Amino acid sequence: MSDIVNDDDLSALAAEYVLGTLEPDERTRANVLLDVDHGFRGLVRVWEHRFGELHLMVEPVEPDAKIWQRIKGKLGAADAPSARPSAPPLPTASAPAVRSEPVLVAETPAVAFVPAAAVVPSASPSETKPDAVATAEQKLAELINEVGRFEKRPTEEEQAEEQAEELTEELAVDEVDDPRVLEHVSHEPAPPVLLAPDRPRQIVRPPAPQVGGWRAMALVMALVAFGLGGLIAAWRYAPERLPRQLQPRVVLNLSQGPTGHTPAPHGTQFEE
Amino acid sequence: MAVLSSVEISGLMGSVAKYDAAAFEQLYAATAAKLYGVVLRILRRYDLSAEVIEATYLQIWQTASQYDPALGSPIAWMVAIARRRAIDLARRPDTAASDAEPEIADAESPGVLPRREMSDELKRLLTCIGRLEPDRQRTILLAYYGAFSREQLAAKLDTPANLLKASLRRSLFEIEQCLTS
Repeated sequence: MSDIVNDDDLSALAAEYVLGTLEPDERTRANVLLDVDHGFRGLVRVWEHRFGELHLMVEPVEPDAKIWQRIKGKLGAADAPSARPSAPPLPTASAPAVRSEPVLVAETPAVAFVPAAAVVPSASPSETKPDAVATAEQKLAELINEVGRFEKRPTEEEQAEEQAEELTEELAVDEVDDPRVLEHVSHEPAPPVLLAPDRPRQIVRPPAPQVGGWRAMALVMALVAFGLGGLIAAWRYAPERLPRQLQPRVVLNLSQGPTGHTPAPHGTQFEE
Repeated sequence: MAVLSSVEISGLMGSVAKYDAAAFEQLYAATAAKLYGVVLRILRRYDLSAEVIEATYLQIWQTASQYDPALGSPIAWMVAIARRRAIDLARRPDTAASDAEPEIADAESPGVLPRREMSDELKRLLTCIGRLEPDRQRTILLAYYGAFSREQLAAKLDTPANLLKASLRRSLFEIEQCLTS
């Protein structure tokens, strides 16, 4: 992430963080950024909001009742340090599926795919004629389905890909030609501004008794920071006024300012 | 799974913020299957998914007061917590090492949702994703539902990683432009 040079990069990083496409080391660094950077946290919230409703397309899977029992057992002791789980949960006979068997798919073929044709006519009664947006969504949903199949069986890969392309080619045509799409979009409420109001991730605890000590510490640290800041400013702007012992050595070259690095122009990473 | 409306779930969330254990149990009953479905698709292992669900609900219990309705539905907020945890776990080196033998061969496909069950926000997002080229639509959806890293995606889609990164970022930029236009 040393290549972060502008807000668009930060937004792209937040988007990839939410999507889940960051590589392990990138994600680790993004998690650190999430803890320390207010702006990045806001961007992640915005992207989580943008993609937030995609979960509607995922079928629910009933979890094992033991999961709730474990959660319930920890509610009262959630803050106690001894509340950490002592062992990984064991699979049980009543779990929705047994280890190493992909029975989820096998048990629920009816849920796994509902043909779009069966669904479109039953959409809201006010829709008396085909709606470009509705068909676009149906096709996209089918596409999602194709994506799943495409992963599952490599032998069907090419077929699924072809189907997906056909679907989405039609989709693109429908979507662009129909003015109702634009109408639909333009009448939507304005999306949240990029830097949404942020909130702390942690529960704010009431001030502890030793808060006075922390305050004094913070004051001392602030004074130290202030003093150092003043010294750096003096080096930068008026080195000749400083006592001789404090004057910067030429080797530091502080009075000339940073050189060499110019940030990439705004938005260039999106252009190929 | 008890079917509750978004308004009912919002009401439960308000009670959970005040540490109402009965409301929390109802919230769990109404939402756990959805969260479990989302997490299973990412981790493709039952033990790890159970771990994530457990930690997610404990976090919800502790931080329900931080839920902000302005940033989406309660369930979307809960799903976001679960996804963050699931992806973090999936990227851990020890998890990645055992990824060679997932318990669920691969993520099963999401179902087709009747239009009347789609929220306006989902319709808007799908319209914007639908404007991308077909390949890039597939990449975005595959990335979201399976939470594959770019390297994994590049291998799955048989695309050079640098091209994938560029196209992914362009897609995200276009989705952002579309949603904010």
